[in-house]
Amino acid sequence: MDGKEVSADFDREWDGQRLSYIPPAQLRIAPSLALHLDESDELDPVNYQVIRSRLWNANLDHMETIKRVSGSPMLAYGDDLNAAILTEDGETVVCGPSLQYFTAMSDLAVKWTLEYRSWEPGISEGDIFLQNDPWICAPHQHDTSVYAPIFWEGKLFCWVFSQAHYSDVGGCDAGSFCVHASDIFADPPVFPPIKLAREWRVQEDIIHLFSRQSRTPELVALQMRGQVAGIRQARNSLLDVIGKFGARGVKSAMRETIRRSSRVIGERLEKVPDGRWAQIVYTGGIGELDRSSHRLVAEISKKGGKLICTNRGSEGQWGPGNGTYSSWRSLLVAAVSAIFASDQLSCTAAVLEHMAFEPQHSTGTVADWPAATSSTFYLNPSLSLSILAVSRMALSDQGGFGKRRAMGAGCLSNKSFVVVSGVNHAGRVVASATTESMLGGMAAGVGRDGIDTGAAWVAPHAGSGNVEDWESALPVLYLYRRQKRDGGGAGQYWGGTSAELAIVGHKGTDVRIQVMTADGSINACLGLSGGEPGHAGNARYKAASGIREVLRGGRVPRSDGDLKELLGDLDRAVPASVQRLDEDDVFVISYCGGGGLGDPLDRLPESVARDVSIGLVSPRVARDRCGVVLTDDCEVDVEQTSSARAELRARRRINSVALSSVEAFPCTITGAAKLFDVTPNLSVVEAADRRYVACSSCNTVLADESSNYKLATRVSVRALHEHDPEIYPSVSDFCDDDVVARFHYCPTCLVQLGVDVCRQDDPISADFQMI
Amino acid sequence: MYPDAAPVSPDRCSIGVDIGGTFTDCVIVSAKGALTHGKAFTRPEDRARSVFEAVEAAAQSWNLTAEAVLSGASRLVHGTTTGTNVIVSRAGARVGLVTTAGHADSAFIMNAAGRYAGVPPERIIGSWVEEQPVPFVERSLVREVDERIDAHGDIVVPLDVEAVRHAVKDLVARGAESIAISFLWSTRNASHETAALRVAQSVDSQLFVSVGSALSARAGEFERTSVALVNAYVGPVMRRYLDGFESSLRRIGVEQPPLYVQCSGGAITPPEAWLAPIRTVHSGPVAGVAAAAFLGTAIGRHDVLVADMGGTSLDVCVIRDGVPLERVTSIIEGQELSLPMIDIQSIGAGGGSVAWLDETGGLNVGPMSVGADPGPACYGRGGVEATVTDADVVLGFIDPDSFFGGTVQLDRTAAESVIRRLAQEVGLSVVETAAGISRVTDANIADLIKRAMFAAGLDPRSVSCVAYGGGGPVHASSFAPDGGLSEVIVPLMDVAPTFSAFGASLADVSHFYEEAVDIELPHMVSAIVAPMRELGERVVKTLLFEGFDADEISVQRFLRVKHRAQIYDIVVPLSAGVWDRLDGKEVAREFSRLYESRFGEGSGNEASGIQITGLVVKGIGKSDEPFTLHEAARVPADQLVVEPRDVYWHELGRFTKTPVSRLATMVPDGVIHGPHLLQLPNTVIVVRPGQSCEFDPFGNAVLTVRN
Repeated sequence: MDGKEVSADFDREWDGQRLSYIPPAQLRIAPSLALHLDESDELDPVNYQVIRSRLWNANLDHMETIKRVSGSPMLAYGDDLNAAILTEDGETVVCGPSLQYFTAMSDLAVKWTLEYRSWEPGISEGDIFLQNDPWICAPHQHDTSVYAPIFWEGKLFCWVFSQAHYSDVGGCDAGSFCVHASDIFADPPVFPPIKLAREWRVQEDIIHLFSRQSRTPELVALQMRGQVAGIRQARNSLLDVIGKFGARGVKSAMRETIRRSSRVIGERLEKVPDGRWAQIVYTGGIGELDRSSHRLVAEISKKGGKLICTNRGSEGQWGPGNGTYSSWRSLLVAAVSAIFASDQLSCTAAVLEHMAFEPQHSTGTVADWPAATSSTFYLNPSLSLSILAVSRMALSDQGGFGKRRAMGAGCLSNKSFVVVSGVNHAGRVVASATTESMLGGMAAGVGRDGIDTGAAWVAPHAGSGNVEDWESALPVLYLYRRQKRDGGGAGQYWGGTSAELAIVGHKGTDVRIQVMTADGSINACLGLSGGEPGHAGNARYKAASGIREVLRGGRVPRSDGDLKELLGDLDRAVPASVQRLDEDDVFVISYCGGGGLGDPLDRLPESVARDVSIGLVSPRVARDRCGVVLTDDCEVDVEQTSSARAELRARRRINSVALSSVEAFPCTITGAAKLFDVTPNLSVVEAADRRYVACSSCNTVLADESSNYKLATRVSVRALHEHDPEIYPSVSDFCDDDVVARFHYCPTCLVQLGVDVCRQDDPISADFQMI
Repeated sequence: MYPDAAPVSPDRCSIGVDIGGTFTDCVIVSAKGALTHGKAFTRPEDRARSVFEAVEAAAQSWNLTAEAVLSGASRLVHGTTTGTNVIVSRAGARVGLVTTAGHADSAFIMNAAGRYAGVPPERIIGSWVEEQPVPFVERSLVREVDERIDAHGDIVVPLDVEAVRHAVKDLVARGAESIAISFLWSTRNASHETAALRVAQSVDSQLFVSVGSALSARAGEFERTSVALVNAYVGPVMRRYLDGFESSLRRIGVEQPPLYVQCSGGAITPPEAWLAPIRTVHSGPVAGVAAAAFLGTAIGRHDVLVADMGGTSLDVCVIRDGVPLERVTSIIEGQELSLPMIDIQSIGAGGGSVAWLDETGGLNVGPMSVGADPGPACYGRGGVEATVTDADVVLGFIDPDSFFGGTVQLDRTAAESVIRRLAQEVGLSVVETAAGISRVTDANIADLIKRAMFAAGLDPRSVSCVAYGGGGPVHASSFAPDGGLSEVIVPLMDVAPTFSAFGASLADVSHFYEEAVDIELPHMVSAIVAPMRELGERVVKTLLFEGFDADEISVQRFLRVKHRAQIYDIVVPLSAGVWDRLDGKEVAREFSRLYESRFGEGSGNEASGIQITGLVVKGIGKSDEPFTLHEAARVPADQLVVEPRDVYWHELGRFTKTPVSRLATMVPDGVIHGPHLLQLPNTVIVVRPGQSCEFDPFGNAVLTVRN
C-alpha cells in the first residue's frame, strides 16, 4: 500500500540502496515465480473464524518456539521479537502481541525479496531468508529477520516471518549500539536478504558468516536456530490448516481478514473529525559526541478514513543517531494499530490500507545510506512521537474506541539500555544489556491514571526480569531497585512512575558499564492536554564511592535519598560513555515515567492523598503541582487546598504572558454551541456557521478551528529543570541548545491546556488544526 | 460398574473427597478394590460438614456410616477449594512483608509484567486500559531490613536481627494478621530467612509466618516473594479450616490424619499443609488430572490429553509418559508465583460460554459466560444470551427431557429464540448458527490442544484424549480430531461423575525438594552427587517421620538443564541407581536428545555450553495396595434400548435420525458406529459420522475419531 499517495519522484530511488525501500503499488516479481492467487467463491463464515484463529495460534507457536530455543534474556524478558504471517504478495495478515514495530515492517522485507530476489537467485520452496538491512526492514542491525515462503502445489502461497533482537552483531562498540560510529562503515555489518536455507537445509556457512561478526557468536547461532525452528513450526501449522480447509479457503480467509479489519478500522477513523495533528519531540545531548539537540516531527493529516503521515520538519541525519524509513513508518503503523485496532490481532495490512506516507529523506528519522543506524538514538523519542501524534488525533474520536486507548508518552521514550561487560567470578567473559528499561511508566489516558512500571505500549508483552536474574548473569550487585517517587508526569490523571536502581561491581574483573542513552533532560515523556512530562530518565555515577565501607558497616542504602546521605552527591553520567564498575563504584539509573493528562490542578485531592500515602508522590509535589495540602495523617486539608489552588492559578497569570498573536482571539461568543471535544479541555464550538476552538472549562474562544489555538493562550516559558529540579535534570549538562518547556494556559480561567518541550526560539507549534 | 453384593468392610479403605463450588464429591475404595461414591451440597460456611455428608452419602450404598468408614480408613485424601476461594474472593489475611533493604517494591513492580500476566495473548495489545492486578500486600505493610546475600550465597551484609523484631512488632501493631519473609538469594543461603522466621515466631508464636525459601528453591525474587505473600494471605483462613476439619475427625475417633491434594500432584500431610497451605490451591482440577493419569496408565495410554469441560471453561492438561506436565510458576489473580503446579490451561469454552459477534461480523464464543445463574437460555431461568449448551440443544445433542437424568427440563424454544437473534445478524439459519457456535467452540479448544501438544513436544496422533465434565463427552469427538488426536476416552466407571474425588483417593504422599546450582557440563557433573544425596536423605527422612516404612518409599531424581546462554531449562530424569556415578557427556547427550525432541532437530547448540541449574528430588510414600480397575458388566449391543432422535451433523449439512442408546449400569458389547449418541445420566457421548465407539473391559468408552 505504500507509495500509493507518494509523489512520483520517489519512484525507484526508494529501492533500499541509498534511500530506503518503499514498495510500489505493483510489485515487480519475476514471472517464473508462480503465485497462489486463487480464492474460494464463497467463504463459510464459520470457517473464516476458525481459520483466522488458527493463523493467530500458529503465529503464537512460532514466537514461543523462538523464545524457547533461543532462550535469550533479551527475548524471554524483553520480548524483543515478533512473528507474522503474510500473503503471497507480502500483506501482513496477523502479527503476534510482542514488539509491534517489528511486524509492522514485515511486509517491507517480503516485498523487497519478491522484487529483488525472485529474478535471481530465485525464490523456491525450502528457502529461508535472513536480513538485517535498515534500508529495507530493520530498526537497526541487531533486529534480524528470518522468513520463508510457503508453497502449496508449486505456487507461492504465503510467508512466515520473524524478527528478533540479537545481543551483539558486531561493530565498534560492545553490544553493537555503536555510539562511536559516524557512518555505516563503523556500524555492525548490514546483510540484505540472503538465503539462510535452501530446500529447508540450513546453510551452516551463512550462520557462520553472520555469527562471525559477533562478540557472542554462540548466542547468535543459538538464536538464529531458534528463528529457524520457529519457521519450521509455523510452516507445519500452516500446511495443516491448508490441508484441512483447502488452499483457496485459507487464502480467502486471509484476504477476508484484511478486508473486514480494514472496514472496522475505517469506520473507527470516520468517527474522528478531519484535521491535522502534529507532534514534535527533541533528542540529543550525548555528551562529547554531540552536544546539540535534534528535532523529530510527525504530522498526520486525516481525511475520512485515510491518514497521510509525514516527517516533514524533522532535522537532518546526524552522527550515530539515525533511523530509516522502515522504522519510522512502522512506529506510526504500530501506534495506529494499538490505538484504533488493538482488537484486530495486529492485522497491519488492514491498518496500512488507511495510511499513506510522505517521507522526507536525509533526516534523522528517514536517513540515507551510509548513515550509522545501530545506536538508534532517534528510535526511542520516535516511540513518543508516534504515540503522541496518533493519541492527539484519538482524543477527538467521537466513537470512543480510540479515545479510550489514547495516552501520552512514557516508558522507552529515552533509550536507557544498560550494557554490562567484564569477566565474571568464573573467568567467563560476559556482555549483555539488561531489559530493565522496561521499568518505565505508562502514561495517563482519558479518565485513567498511567500504570506504574507498566512497561512500553510498543512492547506490550515485555518485562524487566528479576534482580536475581541479572545478578546471576552479570558481575554486579544491586543496592536497590524501587519505584521512583514523583517519576510520573503530573496531571488530572497522573502518569505512571518508573523505577530507579543502583548497582555496584561485584566479584568480577574489568567490569564496565555503558548506558546507551541520549540525555534524558531533553524530555520526550510528554503528556497530553496539559498533562506534564514524566521524569525522562537519568544516570549518575560515583567512582570509589565508599559504598563497600557502608555495606561492611551493616547498612544497605534503600533509595536515592539514602545514597546521597551516605555517599554524598553523585555526578550525572555522561550519556553513552563507558564507566568502570569496580566494587566500590556506584552506578544509578532511573527510567522514563509516563506523561500526565489534563491540568494537575484538576486532580481529585483524594487521589493525590492516596498517591502520597503510598509514597509515589511527595507532599512537595502534591502541594507545588496540584495545590493539595495534606495533614500529617495524609488527609486532605480542604481549606488550605482551596487557597493553595487559587494561589497557583494566580501565579500562573503572574508568570505567563499573553501571546494575543491573532486578532479577535481570545474572545467570548455568546450562544456558541459545543460540537465535540477535541481534547479533554478543548472543544470545537459553532456559532453563525463558523467553528471555533474553545476552552471547555470557561468557553473562552481561542481560535478558528483550523488555526493554532495556542496563539491565543498565555504562555510561561522555563526550563523543565527550573520547573522542578528534583524531577527534571538540567539540559545544559550535556547539550548546548536552549531546550525549554512552554506551559500554555487558558487566558481566562488559566487551565493548563498544553505543555510543549521545544527550543527557545521555535515558533509556537500547532497540536491540531481541524479541516 | 462395580457391584459388590457382599458386605463391604470399611477397614483400610481409601477415601477421596473433592469440595467443588456446588457439590462435594466423595469416592471410597475398599481394601479389596470395591468402590462407591456419593455427593453432597457444598456448604460454603462449613465445608468440613460437607465432607462428612458426602462421605455419608457414599457410605450409605454399602450400608455403612460415615463414622465407620472414616474410622476404618487407611487414608482420607482431601481436595479443597478453600484456598482458591480465599484468593479469588480476596478474603484472606492482611499480610505484612519483611524483605531485603532496597527491594520493598518488588511486589509492586512485578517485573513490569503485571499488566499482562495471565491475560490471553489476543487481549495483550491495548491491555493498558484493563484493570491492573492488586498485590496481596499493602504498601504500608512492607518493611525493609538490612541484610544482603549475593548470587553465590555469600553474606554481604549480615541480618539486622533487631530490625526484624522491630518490623514484625510494628506490622502486627498495624494490623498484619500474618507475615511473609522474603530476602534476595535466600535460595542460595537461607540462613537470614531462617533467623528472621525465628525472630517472628518469638514475637508471636501463633503468628502465621510464610518464608520464601521454604516454598521455592528457584531464583527470581518477585515470584518467590509472591508465593510467600499469597501463602501468608491464605494461611490463617486455611489453618482455621484445617484445624476445624481435623478436630472434627478426631471427635469421631478418626486417628489417621487426613492428607491434602497438592497443586503439583500427589498429597501432602497436615504439617506440610499447615506450613504451606498455598500448595492446596486448585486441588480439584489437579485431582481430576491424577484420575486421568491413573486411568490412562491402567489401560495402556501413557500420553494423554485431559479435557474437562464444565459450565464456564474447559481445562486441558497433558500427561506425558504417565506423568502430568508441570509448570514451575503459576499465575494466580495476575500474580506470577514460584509455585510448581500441574500445568492445567483453561479457556472460556464451557457450556455457559456466550456466543457473540465482533465488529468485523466474526462469530466468537467466550470467554464470557452466563454462569450458573441465570445459565443458558434453555434452563428457562431468564438467560438471554446464546450459549454453547443452547446450541447443543438446538442441534439435538442434548435431549431437553434427559438433562441431569431428566431432573431438569430444558426449554428448546428459548434456546432457538436466543440463537435466532444471533442468526439474523450473522446471516445464517438458526441451525447453521447453532452449528457455527459449536464448531467455533470446538475449534478454539482444538487450538488450545494443538498449542499444548506443541509445548509438550508430543505428536498428537499418538495421544489419547480423556474427556469428562458435563460437556467433554459431547464435544470431544469434534475438538479432539481437530486438534490432531485420534482417540477419545470417556471414563464410564462409576466414578465418572466424581472423577476428581476418585483422583484424590489415589493420591500418594509426595514431597519435592529442589536446590538451585550452577554446574557446568560435562566436566563438573560430579558436583551434583553430594547435594543430590543430601536432598535424597532429607526426603526419605521426612517420609519415615510421616510413618512410612522404608519399603513404601520411592525416590526419583531429576536435573534441570539448559544451554548456558538461555533462560529456560528442561527437566532431565535420572535413572535410579546411577545418579551418583554419572557420565557428564551422557547427561549432556540426553539433554540434547530431549531438547531436540521438544524443539526440533538441529535446535540445540552444545557449543554455547550446557549448565545444570537445579537438582530435584521427589519422594513418594505409598502405603496402600494399588487400586486396580474391575471389569464392567456388559450387555449385548442389540439389547440396548435405542431411540432415534433428529440430530444436526454439520459434516453432513443436515438433520439425521440418529440412534440414541441409553446406558445405565452396563456397557454394550461390540462396535457402535457413528452417527450415534450414548445417553448417560449426566451427559451424552457423541459419536460423529465416520467415527466408532467400543467399550474397554473396564467400561470406558473408547472412540476412534481419526480425522
